Amino acid sequence: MRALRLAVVALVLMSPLVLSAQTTRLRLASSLPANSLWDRSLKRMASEWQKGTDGRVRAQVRPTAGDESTVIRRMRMNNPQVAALTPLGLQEVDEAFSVFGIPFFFESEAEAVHVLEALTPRLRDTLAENDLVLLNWGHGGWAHIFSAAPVTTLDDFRKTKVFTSAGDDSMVQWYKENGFRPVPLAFTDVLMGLNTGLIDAYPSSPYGALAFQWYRQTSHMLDVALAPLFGATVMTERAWRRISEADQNAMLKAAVATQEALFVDVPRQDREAVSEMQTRGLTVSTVDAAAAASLRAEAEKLTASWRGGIVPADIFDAAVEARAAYRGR
Amino acid sequence: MVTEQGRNRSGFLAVVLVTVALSPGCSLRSMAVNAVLPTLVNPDVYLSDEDPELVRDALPFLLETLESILEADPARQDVLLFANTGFLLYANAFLQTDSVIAEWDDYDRAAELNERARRMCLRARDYGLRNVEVDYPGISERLRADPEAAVEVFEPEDVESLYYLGGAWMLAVSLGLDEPALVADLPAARALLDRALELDEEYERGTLHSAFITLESVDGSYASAREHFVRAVELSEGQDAGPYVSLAAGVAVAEENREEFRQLLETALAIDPDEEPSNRLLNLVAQRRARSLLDHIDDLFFEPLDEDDGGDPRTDQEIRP
Repeated sequence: MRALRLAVVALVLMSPLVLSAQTTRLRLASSLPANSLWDRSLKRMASEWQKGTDGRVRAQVRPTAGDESTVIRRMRMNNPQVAALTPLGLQEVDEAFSVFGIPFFFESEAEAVHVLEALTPRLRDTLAENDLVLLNWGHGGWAHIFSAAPVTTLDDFRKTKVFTSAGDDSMVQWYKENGFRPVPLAFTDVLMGLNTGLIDAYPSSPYGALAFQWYRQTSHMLDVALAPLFGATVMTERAWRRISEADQNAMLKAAVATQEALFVDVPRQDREAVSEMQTRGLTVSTVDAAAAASLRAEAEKLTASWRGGIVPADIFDAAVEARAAYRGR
Repeated sequence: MVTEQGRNRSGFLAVVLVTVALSPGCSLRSMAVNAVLPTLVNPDVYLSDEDPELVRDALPFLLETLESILEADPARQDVLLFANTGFLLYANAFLQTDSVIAEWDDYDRAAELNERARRMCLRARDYGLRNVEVDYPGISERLRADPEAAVEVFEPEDVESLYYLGGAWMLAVSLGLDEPALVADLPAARALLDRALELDEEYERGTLHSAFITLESVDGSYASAREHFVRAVELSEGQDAGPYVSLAAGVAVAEENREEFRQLLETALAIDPDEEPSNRLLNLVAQRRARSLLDHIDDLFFEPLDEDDGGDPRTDQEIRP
């Protein structure tokens, strides 16, 4: 009897040790193509998590063909526990993330990063309200307008038949209200749309236009960037809680290093993509500073309706304020 | 015992060899090389082998040897084609397969293998381009400038060259999607394979259709991938494990069809590699991949999501330990 009691005590004493030594296996869902810069950076981060936690946290990056709304629904069941979300996925979580998609809102990468950093506490809270933990920001490059005919003004843009994501009704409505000609299509139908003349313009990062070969039907790119494509790696609160604080810190350290690398590598990749497309017939339409300012000013008037419409008013105002602070430095 | 006749023949041979060796513009070495090359560059020897590890060990030496031969004779097409084929085989059957399997446990190792595979594919591509340049000077440049028009010059007898060149180029691109310069060549690689399919869709008992299963699934064109699968199985009379593995990994996973995934891989594993000796090596390699995929079936598929949403906070799915 005494032996049994001792065994029970020993087991009870041991259990925290056993628990702390357990391996947490995570599944990291990603819709990013295998062997792309993003895929490699996620796998490198997963590898760093494993090393930084002495093998206690192991993440497996798994491709998901399903749309991101399915991934987000699955995360409520805590499987996957981690996901690399694109801007569209983040907007599914909360419309506050639409703030980075306001057309021609940012003048430079540095300005956009400044606003991103300023809004991070608020956006982290937004994710927390959805039981998600922000691990790092991702960078998908900057969307530019690609078109069959040159576009250097918003009036030029109005003449195009521009692709917009099917199902994004508020965007379609905004386009129409402002005299544009949106054509809602599934992402997978863009090439078909370009080949058949259904569309002749689309917003895309230079790398995207190159990789999907869309640029071959649209030989013009406006040099003035439309908007940054900021994504994020998020983790379910439930899975996060089960990881010790020390291991959480190790994971965050690797996540931050991944973010820093992405914010250097992705813009570089886009510059290389532009250069490659130029050798294959792409014309980059540059405009002078005055024309760029005029374009931004006109866009600012048109996108004022985003406040409280597409983007919640408080986050819209916070972005304007942070941008003003950056410009006033 | 050496007969008189044998001695005479040896003497004659020795005289001939010495004479040839002394002749300007020719050499013993090149004679020997020419005699043995047709055997060396016959891919059937490797593709029918029953021991993939033996081929893995043998190929590097052979490929290095062939590269030396090409330094002396840079436009020798049979060697160029084999160099294209051999480097592609080594990259795809061994390095890439190892990488895919290593990814389950060790991303760093997988990345190293992928990088090696990418570099091998680029070597394979470059030999393939040199091969087609012999018959079509300037084709490399035209392929990059206007690929769809450039491939029109190819004839049915070029299909083998197109298949290995297009395959090496496509694989290099898919392993190097972080390199815009490589990604920009995607239309060229695709045009080569499209042209090969157009010229001889029955080539090597459906090999081209098998390649198109992966190509179309990467593009998200699952219906088209399935059509190529049906034709590949038909032409190979169900004796090629490749199409089953390609459809399982490329389409069944994407469509979250776990049962089809399992059935496809079990069918691939049930194929007897000895039934079709000319495809023995590739069947064994495909079956290795099939086993790895089946072993990780629980990692590849999520639990079914209820249509009325999976938001039940009590549900807490964990992947298997």
